[in-house]
Amino acid sequence: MWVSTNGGSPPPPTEQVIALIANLDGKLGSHWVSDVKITNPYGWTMTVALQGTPHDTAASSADPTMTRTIPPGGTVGIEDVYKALFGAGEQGKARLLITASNGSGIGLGVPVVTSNIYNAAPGGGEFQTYGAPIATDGFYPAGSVLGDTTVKGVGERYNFDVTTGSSGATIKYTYRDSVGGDQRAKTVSYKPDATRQHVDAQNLFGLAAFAPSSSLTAEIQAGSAAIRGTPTNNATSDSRSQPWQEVVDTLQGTVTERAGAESVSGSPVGQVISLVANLDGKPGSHWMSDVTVFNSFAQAVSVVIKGTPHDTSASSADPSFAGCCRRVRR
Amino acid sequence: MTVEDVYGALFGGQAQGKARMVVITTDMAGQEYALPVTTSNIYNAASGGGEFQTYGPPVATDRFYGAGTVLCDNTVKGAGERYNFDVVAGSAGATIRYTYRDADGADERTVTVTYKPVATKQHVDAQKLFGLTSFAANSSIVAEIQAGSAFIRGTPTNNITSDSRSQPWQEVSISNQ
Repeated sequence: MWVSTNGGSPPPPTEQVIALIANLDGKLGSHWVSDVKITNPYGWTMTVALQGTPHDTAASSADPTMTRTIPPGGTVGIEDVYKALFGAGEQGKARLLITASNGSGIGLGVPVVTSNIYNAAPGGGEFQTYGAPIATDGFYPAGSVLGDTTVKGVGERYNFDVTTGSSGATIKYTYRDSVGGDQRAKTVSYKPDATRQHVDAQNLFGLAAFAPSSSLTAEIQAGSAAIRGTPTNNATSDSRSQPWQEVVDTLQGTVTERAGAESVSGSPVGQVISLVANLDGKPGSHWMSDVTVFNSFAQAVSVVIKGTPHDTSASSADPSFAGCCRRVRR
Repeated sequence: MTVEDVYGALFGGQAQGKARMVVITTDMAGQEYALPVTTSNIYNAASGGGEFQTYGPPVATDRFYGAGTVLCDNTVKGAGERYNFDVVAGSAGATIRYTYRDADGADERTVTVTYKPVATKQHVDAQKLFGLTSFAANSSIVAEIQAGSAFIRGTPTNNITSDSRSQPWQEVSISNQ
């Protein structure tokens, strides 16, 4: 399919980036290790090359690499991928580039890649946080605005990492508390084809701690990048990974309708959260849900939240409540 | 705006259950407006639970995957974890054919499931869907949306702490179906 090009060039190998892999001592007795899984969902054999680039360093041809061949429908798991690339006894963190081809430099589809970076110290749960890969042509360009509201989880610390494209990036960050009363900005430049992690991200803004329900926005002023937040439990060092969300409009004073939005049955487009719960689970767990809506716009908006019971079609009888998200102070 | 125990806020303080939730944002005149940054968490609040929070990013109701789309996840067999996944269907519901494969593709099992419109269905202990007692190491699941529209989110959960996380299944650009 992709190889038949009507005389054109065959497709190049596909590239995906895992922002961070590690074999590294961390805070509170943690020790971080990374695994990666790569699935070939296609009906042909695929060859993948993995390249590790040390933290906050531009990628180069001298970076360590390894290759694996995956049969049709198969999955390869690589445990402690940092050690596999950089050698036993090495500690550090790195960006991981995964290139897939037919083994002869021709792209034959995009493998499914998941990664985890977890606390492997004694007492650590080896709870695994998977960071979705980023296609190298999928970085957010200059002019994009990203945001995150999960910087102040209960009993958590917060890092974020920035992965850049081939031109590097310059990013202006704005921190705001829940009402925008405390607002701080910071601009940082990043190297090309690199990942830089901001540990204890509150330090970037001269804060001892983030305020409850505070948020960060990132305006990419030059180059391209993707940003991933990693809130981490202070007691267990369990962590998770989540990409910062693109903000359609900002507090720049412009009111913009959502580009490309389509109404559904004449109703405004909504955002679906798959599941919320108040429910006993296993083993001895009890599941509850919170939600945060951050108004990044220049005017107040009205928010309606509706719930539909599990495995039931939505109806007008479903419970709902309304709120008003005032705009935060500029 | 933060709403704690949003299920209780919707269904009453004593109610127990699980539900799909939609957040609809308009301007103050009721007209469609841009989407805000919305984050949610679902966490183990039991005594001894770490309240470690897993955020599932929202999906816009006009951004579901359509028929012909193929999705995949390979995180079904984490060490010391159990694995559920939930399917959120669009306005026409969805029919999805799942294919389970072990590490070398030798054990391959398929099952087709139909979902109600505008609904979420969670598959708890997802291995049972394929008649398995457990998933094999380095196994994967492919989902082919045959009709309607949907998206799928996997939720691996630690067996000891019940800490959990949420991750969308990834789109596969070409399938071998």
